[in-house]
Order: sequence, then structure tokens, then C-alpha cells
Amino acid sequence: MLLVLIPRLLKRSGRRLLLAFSSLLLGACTLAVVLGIIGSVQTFFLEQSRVLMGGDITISSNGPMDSTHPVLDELSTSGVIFSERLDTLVVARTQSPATQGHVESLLVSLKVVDDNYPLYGELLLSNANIPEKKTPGAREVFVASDVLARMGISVGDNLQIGNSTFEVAAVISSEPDRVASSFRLGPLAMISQDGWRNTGIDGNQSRIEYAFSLKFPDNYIDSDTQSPLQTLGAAFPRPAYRVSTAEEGPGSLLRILSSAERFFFTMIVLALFLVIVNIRLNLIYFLSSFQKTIAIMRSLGMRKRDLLYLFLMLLFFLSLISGIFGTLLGNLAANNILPFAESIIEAQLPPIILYSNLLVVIVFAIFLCMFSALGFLVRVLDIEPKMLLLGYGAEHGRARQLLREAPSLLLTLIGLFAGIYYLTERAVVALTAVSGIAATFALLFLLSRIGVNLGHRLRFSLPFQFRYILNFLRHQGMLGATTIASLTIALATIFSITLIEANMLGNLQSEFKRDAPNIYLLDVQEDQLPGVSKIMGDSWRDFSVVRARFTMRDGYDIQSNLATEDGEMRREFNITSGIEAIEGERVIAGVWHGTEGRGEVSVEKDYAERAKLTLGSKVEFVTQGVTLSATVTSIRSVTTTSGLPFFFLVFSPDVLRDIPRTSFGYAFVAEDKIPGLQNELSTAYPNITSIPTTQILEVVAKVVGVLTTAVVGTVIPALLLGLILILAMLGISAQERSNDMLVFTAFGAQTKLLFSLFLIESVAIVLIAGFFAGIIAHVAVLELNRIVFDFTTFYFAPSVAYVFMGILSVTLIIAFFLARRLTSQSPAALLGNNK
Amino acid sequence: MLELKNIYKSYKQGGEVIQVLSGVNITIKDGERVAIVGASGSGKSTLLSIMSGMDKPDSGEVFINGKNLSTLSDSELSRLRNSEIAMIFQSFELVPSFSALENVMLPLDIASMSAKIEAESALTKVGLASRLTHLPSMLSGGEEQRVAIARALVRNPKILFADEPTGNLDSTTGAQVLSLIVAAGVGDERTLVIITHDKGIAQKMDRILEIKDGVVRESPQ
Repeated sequence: MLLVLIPRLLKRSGRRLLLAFSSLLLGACTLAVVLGIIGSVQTFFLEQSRVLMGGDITISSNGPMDSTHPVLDELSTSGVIFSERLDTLVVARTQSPATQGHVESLLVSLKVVDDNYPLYGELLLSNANIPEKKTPGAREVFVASDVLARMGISVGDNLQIGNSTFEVAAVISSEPDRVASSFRLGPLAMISQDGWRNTGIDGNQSRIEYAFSLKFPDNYIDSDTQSPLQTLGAAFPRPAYRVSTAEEGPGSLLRILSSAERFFFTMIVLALFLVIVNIRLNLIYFLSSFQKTIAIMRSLGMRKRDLLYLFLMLLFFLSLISGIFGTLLGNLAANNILPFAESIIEAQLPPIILYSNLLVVIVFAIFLCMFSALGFLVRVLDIEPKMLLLGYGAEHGRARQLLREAPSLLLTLIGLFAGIYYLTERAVVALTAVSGIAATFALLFLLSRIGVNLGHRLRFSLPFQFRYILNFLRHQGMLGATTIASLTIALATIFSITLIEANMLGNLQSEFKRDAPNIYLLDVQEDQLPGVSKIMGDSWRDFSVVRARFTMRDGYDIQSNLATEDGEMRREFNITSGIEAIEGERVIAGVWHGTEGRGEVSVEKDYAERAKLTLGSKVEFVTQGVTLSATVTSIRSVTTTSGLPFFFLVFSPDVLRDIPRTSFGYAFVAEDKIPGLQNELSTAYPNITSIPTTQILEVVAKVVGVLTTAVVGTVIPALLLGLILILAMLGISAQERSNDMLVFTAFGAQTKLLFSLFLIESVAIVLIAGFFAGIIAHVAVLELNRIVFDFTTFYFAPSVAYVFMGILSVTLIIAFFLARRLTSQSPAALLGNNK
Repeated sequence: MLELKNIYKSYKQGGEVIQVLSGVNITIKDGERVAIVGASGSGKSTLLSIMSGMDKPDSGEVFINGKNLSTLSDSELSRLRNSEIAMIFQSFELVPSFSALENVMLPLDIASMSAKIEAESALTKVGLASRLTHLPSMLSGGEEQRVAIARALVRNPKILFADEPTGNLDSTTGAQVLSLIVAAGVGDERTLVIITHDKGIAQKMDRILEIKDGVVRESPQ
């Protein structure tokens, strides 16, 4: 019987549920999009893990590895195939002068492979001088098409790398293990191990990534890889080496994927907060047309639990339909977004099946709907038959009203806490953030109530329109204040995302560009410094660089207790020594060691915090088998985004005196002189890598572009939900006012007065909410810059104002059409037969 | 004076055309008190809505104090509703978010006139001086209707229309309200047109018009 009532209820007032349905649909759709894309990427990596990784197991290191290690020998006798790989940055040079628009020297990402490469997948080549070519010969190089385009060369031409000349033998169309290599600053060039030896570049370099990839024969079953994994892990221990299986994937990629997942899920949490607010508001709007019906049903004997069951069923069907359609639409949208993800990982991702994650999204939609409807259900149960006689206007006391809202408010906060904790993995941060949101909401709520009550007291000194609006808002009680507070939070979310995008762009690009040198040089040997200095000119600055690992702090073994230390402590750091402070840095505690210091070290402020160092801490670092000891005598603050180099650790010269090192340096030169400088350097010193800043900026711009596109993409659900919230607010307002408007018309109010009543209120609420939202957003992003992103400059964004003007314009348009509908009704509707 | 000339009005309901008023001609002089009676669904409210300018007839003309309502602009019609005619509804139709005082102030607010003192006076006349700040939800049915009466009279209209003003009230309260309405017409040359199905109320009026089958006839007292 009860289920029969559902279509009747929907037939009568289904339109009022449309906005609630739209909000839920949008929430389900957003979740489906994120799950779909992440699922596609994960499926891709799972299916292609061996190809992407380049093997079943990979051992990697920043230093040369012994290919004759007994463990590797033993595995080899069992049929395991090895492939040795090396990735580094070098400058490649053409042998003829560059033509217009091309360069003679180009920074390339060099990949050195052996004859077993690739172990899985296929290296696809085009324009090969020999069609059967699989790997480059000793005097051959394969290049990405970008190398040819930028240098104006073709297959068959020669390239100088280090001391050796290579013939361009083929163009690389597809590299099967692209993601196994870390971030690339230049286009790809591939040579053989023999070719690498011929370059003469190997030596005391620190930026080479070495890797062994292992392929197990078919008669090895999967579980057997555990045993060699443990053996290899023991033979090649952390932190110097990293042994990973294909399922784990390459480290940086997993980290990026994990970070992306967290970021998108956090954006979902914010969007879902708006979904909850929307659904709550719309269900209350829905209820307003049903109070009498419910009271009549109760007076005719319907039990409270029957009523509850009826509405739970209604909400269940609503969520089910929105879950189904949300999944379909979301996966459709995700398939359209896939090309963007594919461009980032440079691989083709499997398309998303339209019904992927259907069950998860449906369950989620049901949970979200029921959760949002808690307050509504409590209100439904509060309706009694006596209200048919006594009216519905008698609201319960404030305590009862708060009790109604408490469950859904509490659960909302728990959900937000879970989402933020998932992002940051820090309970304190999540708790602080949620407390901040709750406090902001409470403050806004109070301000709304106080403002309305204050205005109400002064209403007789105000024009009629304002008096009416204030009366109406006060009459709405907690619901009105909650709606204004919710709208403010919604707008604050939208503004915050806009500001985050502007600050990302500004901090990552502008500052870097403004202060950065034009060119950096890496791996300059000590005896090469005078010559290099002469070539680079007066602006040349160099710093000795040694790679070392932090091993002891005040007698405490760091490397044996990495689980309790900051994750960064497992890696090697570039350390330097000097008697003068580096440009742009400032000593904020202690005393700089200068010329007199012995066994001292100056530490950067944030590094000191992460490494738990203070003034007086005794530290030990190990490099090339030698232990370096020093005491922390000063702490510095540095600007990390200016483009000028900075070091976490600067030792007094005596500490590094006997340690072999290379130098790193920079210079400010005219842009048009850079190609010539690169040519001169690569001819005289083939081992030196020169990096023009423009090349870095190109990569940075690409990365920033990807990040900002992703950030902007996440604002879309929030914006749409914000607009739905405004539409719901205005719709409810129009519905509740319709009778008042008829009465006003019956007593002679003209159309323009009625219009002004509605438009003033609509615009005023959005303006006030927008004002407070703007303040909240700016404060929030200021803190995010400081705590999360480590940005030093706050950028204001005109786009915030544009977004707000857009929202205000949409509000005005909606309000106008609703007002027109309101004012077109005849007051005859108030008379008996027209009711 | 209120004149209706050859009024026709019909409605469409479920594809069927229902002729509610057929050739209605009425003249009501200034100061007359007229009751319109008829069975439920006979067209009383339709007639009232046309008389008061809230609705337009399919054909025919309505004159209020010599003004043809069909020729009036929206502004002129609004002015008429605000100052010359007033309505009392069966369901009171008070604005729920306004206090009793503010509900009575409403016609004056709409006319941008000073409102508070006049409204207080109107409420006092109907015996609600102690209920000025009460919201409608805090008033009884009789009190609400008295507020509605005060609201209707605050601008001293020439014609007062009442749509079953006691329909939602008990007999005692209804009698009190009715006496207020009737008294409103006395001595002010105010025309009173009241819809009712109560013969007792109708008998108290100067004239009774009966509406039946879409036609209005004078009914004997």
C-alpha cells in the first residue's frame, strides 16, 4: 500500500525534488568521473606493469651498480634475463652550424640501454636506416622527433655526445618503459652501453640513475618472485638501492598517482559538502508542500514508522536513479577527460566501461542521500495530526530545532575529517581544518542571526521592502541562517579553488622567471673551473657539490631508524661548503661560520625542522665512504622559488676539503648568447651539462598547465552545485512568498514593487554571502600557501571577482524570471473557488 | 457606485467549458449593503473576483465609481485596489511573517504613506490593541479575521468586499466579526458586498442577490 503512494507523491510534487535529484546526480557523477579515471590508470598500470616497469623486478640506484654481483650471477644461471639501463642529462651537439630557428646544442635526456632492452613491450621506431633495427649500435643514437625538429637534423645526420660522434639511426615513436624513468627535462636520446663508454662522460657524476631490470622465465610462477625479491633486497639494501616489483611500479609515479588521488578525493569531499547542503535544503522545500498531506495521513491512522518507511523508500528510489544515471554520465565524461590524463603519462589508457563502479556509486548515492535527509526525516516524524487544527506555524523550541539538525551536521563533520585525513595523513591537520570549517559555519550562522535580528529591531526606520525582507528572514529562523551560512561556504569553496589556481601559476612561474639565472651548468670538474669562468663571464657563480647521506644526529643512527624520521632523510643530499653566505639567503639563528669556522655547518630552516636539528646539533654525513662531522652553528632562511640555487647544508670549507667533488654554477647572460655558450662548452668540456632556464621554464609551464587545468576542472562541480543552491534558495523563497505577493497585489501593490521585493532580497543575500566568502577564501589560501604549498607570495586573482559577477548575474536572471512568474498571478487565486 | 453590464465568464475544466456567469447585470449604489448568495459552486466567488477587479470577464464591463475596469492600466487598477476598494478573505490571508500591526500597515506601506499610528488606531477599533506585535500564528481565528478587517478598513475604502468572512469561524466568533463588518458600512457611505451561504447573514443586508445557473436575480428579503 505504502509503495503505491510514492508515484502519487511524485506526480504531485516531483518537480520539487528535481533540484535535490540534480544535486545528488552531480555528486554521483563527480565521484564516477574520479573513480573512472583513477580506475583506468590503475588498470593500465596493472596490465602493463611489466612493460612500464621494464621488467619483473627492477633494482635502481644513484650510483654505479655491480653487474657481476653473486646474487645476480645466480639468478642468471636460473634463466633470469638482465637488462642494464642508465638515465642522465647531457648536451648533444650537431656537427654543422644551426640553421634559422634551430639550435646547435641541445640538452637531452639520455637513456643508455643494452642489447636485451626492452625486456617487455616493444621499442617502436620510425625512419630507421635499417628496418630490423632494435637497439642502437655503438656509434648510433635513436632520438625523439623533438630532437630532430629543434636541431634541424634528420636520420643519417651526426650528433656529438661527449667525446663521441653518433649517427642518428632512427626516430623513437614509442618507448615501452617511459614511466620507469624519472622526470625528463629534455627530449629523449638513446644510445648503447658501448656508445656511453665512448662518450667519456661517465665518472664522478651524481645525476645518473642506474637500473637493472630482471625478467624471470615463464616457468617461474608469481609467488616465486618473493624469494628472489628478498634475496635482492638483502644484496642491494635500502637506502642506497631500491628494489621494486612491477606491481609496485616506479616510485615517483606511484607517488604522483597517490598525490593525484588524494587531491581529487579532497575536491570531492568539498563538492559533496555542497551536495549535502543542497539536498537538505531541497528536501525541506519538498516537505513544505507535504506537511498537510502528512498530517492528514497521520490523522487517518498512518503510523510514524509507516511514514518513515514511505519516505525512506522515496529517497532510496531517488538515490538509486541518480546513482545509475550519475555513473553513466560520469563515465561518459571521464572518457572525454581521458585524453588529458593520457597526455600526462604519455600512454594510451583503457577506455572506461559505462557501467564501471556502478555499485560503488549507487551505494555512495544512497548513503549520501540518507545522510543528508536525516534532518528532513526528523521533521517528518514531528508532524502530528493536531497541526491540522492548530496550524504548522508553531515551531519547536530552539533546542529541538538544533537536535533535528545535529545528526547530519555531526556526520558531515566526520565525513570532512575523513576526507582531509585521507589527503594529509595527519590527524592534527584534519582536526584543525574541520574545526576551522565548523567554527566558520557557526560564526556565519551567528552573524546571520544577529544581523537579521538587529535589522528586525530597526525595521520601522527602513523602507517597506527591507522591512518585509527582514521579517521574512527572521520568520524563517534557523533555516534561513543555515541557508545563508551554507551559501557562504559554497562561494568560499569556489573562490578558494580560483585563488589556489592563481597562486600556483603566480608562484611557480612569475617569481622563477623574474629572478632566475639564464643558464645553469652541472658537473664542472675542479680543474675546469677557470676555463668555464672565462667562457661564462663576470656573472658566473659556482658552488662545489658533494652528494652525501645524513647518517647520525647527536649519536642517533638515522638510517637505521628511518621509520621514525622524515621520509626525505633516506635520500642523498647535495651539500656544499663556502665562506660567504649565498645570495638571497639570511641567517636567522646562530652565527655564520665564515672564514674562521671549523667543523661547522649552516642548515636551512625547513630542513632543520624536518631533520630535527637545532643550534649545537652534532651531525654526521657519509659520502663516497668518508664520514663528515660538523656542528650546527647557524640556521638560514632561503627563497626556494626564485630560481637561484640554495643548499640545505653549507659546511665550513675544512669539512669538505679532501672530498672529491664537482661544481655547479649559474650565470646571467643575454638569451641570444646562450646557444653560442652551449656550443663552446660542449666542445671544450663535453662532460658539462648546460641547462638553459628557458628549457626548465617550458617544462615548468607544462607541469603548471596540467596542475591548473586539473584544479580548474575540480571547480566545475562546486560551481554547478553552488548555482543549484542559489536556484533552490530562490525557488523556495518564491514559493513561500507567492501567497504574500497575491495579498500585496490585492491591496494595490504594483508589479515593480513586487519585483523589487524579490530582486533586492536575492541580490542582497548573494552579495553578503559573497563578501564573507571572499574574506574566508583569501584567509584560507593565505594559510594554504604558507603551510602546504610553501609559496612566499600571495597573488590576488581578478578571476574571483569575475566568477562572483557571473554568479550574481545568474542569480539576477533566475530571480527576474521567478519574480515575473510571481507577479503574473491573479489575486483571484486567494478567493474561495480558485484555491 | 458599482455596475456590472452583461458579464459572461466561463472556465475550462478537463477539456469541458463551464459557463459560470451568463449575462450578469448588477447595479449597486453607494452605501448599499448587498449579500450574494448561492449554492456551493454556483459562481459566487467568480462574481466577486470580477466585481473587485481581481479577474476579468470574458465579455461585459465593470464600472467602479464610473471607471471602466477593463480600460484601466495596471497602475490605475492597483491604485483602485489600494484606496477605493478592500477585500476580506475567508482564510484571512494575513502575511505570516508580519505582526498584526504590520499586516494592518500593509496598504499604507504600499501607498508609501505613514502607517504606524493609523494601523494602531484601526486595530484598537477592532479590539486588538493588546495584540499589535503578535504574529498570525499566535492569534485565534477570530482575532486573525479582525486583523484582516482592520487591514481592509485602514485606508477607508469606498467599497468593501467580503468573501465568506465567517466561513472559517464558529457561530459566536462569526457573529462578532460580522457585526464589525456590518458596522464598517454604517455612517460612512461605504458599499458592502458580502458573499455568504448563510441566510441569517444575508437577511441582515439591504439586498440579496441570488446566483443560480450563471444568472443573478434579486432575491426577496
